[in-house]
Amino acid sequence: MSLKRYILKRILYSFVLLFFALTLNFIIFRMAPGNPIQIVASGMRLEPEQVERLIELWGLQEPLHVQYVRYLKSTLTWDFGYSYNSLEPVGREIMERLPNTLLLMGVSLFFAITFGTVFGIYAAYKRGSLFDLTSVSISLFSYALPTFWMGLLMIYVGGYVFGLFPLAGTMSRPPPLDPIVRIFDLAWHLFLPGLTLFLFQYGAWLLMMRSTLLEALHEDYITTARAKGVSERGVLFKHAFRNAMLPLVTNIALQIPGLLNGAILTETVFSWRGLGLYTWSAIQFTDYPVLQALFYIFALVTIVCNLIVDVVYGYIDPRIQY
Amino acid sequence: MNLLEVSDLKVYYHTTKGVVKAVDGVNFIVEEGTSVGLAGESGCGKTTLGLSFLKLLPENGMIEGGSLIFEGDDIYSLDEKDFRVNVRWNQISMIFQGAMNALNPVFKVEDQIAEAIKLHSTKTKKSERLATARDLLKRVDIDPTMGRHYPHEFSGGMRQRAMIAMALACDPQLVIADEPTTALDVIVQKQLMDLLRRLKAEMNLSMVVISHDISVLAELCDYLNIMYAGRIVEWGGIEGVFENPRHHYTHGLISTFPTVEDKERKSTFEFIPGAPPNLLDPPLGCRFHPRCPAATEICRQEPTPELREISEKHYVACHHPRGDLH
Repeated sequence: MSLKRYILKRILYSFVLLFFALTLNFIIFRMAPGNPIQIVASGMRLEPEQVERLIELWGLQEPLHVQYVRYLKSTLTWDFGYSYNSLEPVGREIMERLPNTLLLMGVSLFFAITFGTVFGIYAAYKRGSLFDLTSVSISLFSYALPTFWMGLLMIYVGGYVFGLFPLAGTMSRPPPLDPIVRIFDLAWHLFLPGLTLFLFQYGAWLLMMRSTLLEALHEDYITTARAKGVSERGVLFKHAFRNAMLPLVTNIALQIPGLLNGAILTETVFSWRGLGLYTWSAIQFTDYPVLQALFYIFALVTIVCNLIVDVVYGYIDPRIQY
Repeated sequence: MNLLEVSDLKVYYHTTKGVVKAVDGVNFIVEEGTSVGLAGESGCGKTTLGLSFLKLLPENGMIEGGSLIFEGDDIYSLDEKDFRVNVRWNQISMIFQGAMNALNPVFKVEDQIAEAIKLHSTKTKKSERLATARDLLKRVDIDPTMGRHYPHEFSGGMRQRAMIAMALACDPQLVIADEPTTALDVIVQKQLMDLLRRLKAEMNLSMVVISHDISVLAELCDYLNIMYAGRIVEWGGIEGVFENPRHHYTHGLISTFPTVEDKERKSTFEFIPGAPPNLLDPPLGCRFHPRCPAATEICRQEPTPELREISEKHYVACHHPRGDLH
């Protein structure tokens, strides 16, 4: 099969998968306990007529299949309706929060991959040394800690005991006007949640890089390379790393969706105004439109990441045939 | 003149269970232009011996003593870099069991051959190196255009040929072939042996062939070393050792192979009773004595018998060698 046909096939599969995810999102939230009307009605002390007006406005009186079709249409046109909670358009609220989440995830992922890979290679190279032992122990520890607990610890130590970092939020209030001061203010707020998510991923990267590299270093072709007179550096970075890289690429795709989970907890703990915190508050309110939109985006990210890796894998591993 | 001369080589593996004396006082000689076989059961130390010529031992493997003189130079005294640049592949190259995983799966075959050339003659151009790589492939009967493919696209026999082509890339004086035909079917084995014989004659190669299959060695070698439990127990010209084995182990090893010529032996297989010794704690005295039909009290006592010349260019390490058939 040619590469083009393979990619087309994978894209088609992705659409089918997305459709299933969409349907599941619709069912899950309607099966979940909690009634959005009740939450809003009791919170705002609405009269019975007002409640009925609200039900009609949100279209909840209609049979489920009609709601389902309307939901599909609104999702696919990227118009997610209005939040039950804030009554603002969901699309706009998401776009407001998306950059914050991308920043938090991007920065922590970038540093986790960089440091995890570099130290993982070094630990594999110096296997059995004190460096190897300490970095593996630290990685296991930071990888095993739950993010919310680590986050609370960071706030307590960094924010409360030493008072070096803000306790919560994305930016000072009111936000500084000078753009440069604004960037520093954002970075200052980003530090603790970023560090938390970084530690959460860093351990996993280091351990994986180390073990795949060690596995590759025991292969016969490494002995061949050494026999040919390849230097230790060449053996490590050319012959072993090129092979160890393959499972790592798969892992990036699997880590990004997992990172979203980590982001929900981390953002909530730090009141970081991103999609994670938004998800958390939407769950509290049984805010159907918001939840559906967010879970649709999470599903989309997961499916697209997997698609990209499948295609990239074909380029970096010559053994993959289409 | 001796191309390679190993004296009293000791290679030990340091494991959590203790010290494994895989090679324990081995003397080994390769004369220029000859090919020397090294045979023995699995775990007798023959691969360790082969790897130690290029200092390619696993991390826990240590060369504990002995010397390796190559073309008159003590190459074990070279520093790491000198050894890597001047000895490895340039003077001594190695044919690994290429049918399995000896070629890197993510690089093209011609690039892997060209890499070997680049490492030892850095001034060549890339195009020249690739041209040489393709010539080498042609020499081992592979279509040169196949060089652009990856190892997984090669058959087992082709991979082994590519491995041979790679071993010849830097015109080495000595080629070590570790199980060059193992894991291949007999037809391919035959083709590879013909190829090795042809290359040996064309390029006047000196070779060390390591195999558990002494019939392969009989086809390829001028001399034969028999290794048992980390020591050489017999060596001599191939015909002498085969037709007139003086060590009881050699005799047992040869008898385990079926023959089509000798009508009397055709119907029965002999075998060597017992199992190879644990090299963590080898038996005292002659290491073969627990399995030897001719063992006496002297064999059970230290020291282990040394190799002695029993007839011209035929050495055996045994207190009670088998009788001379001639």
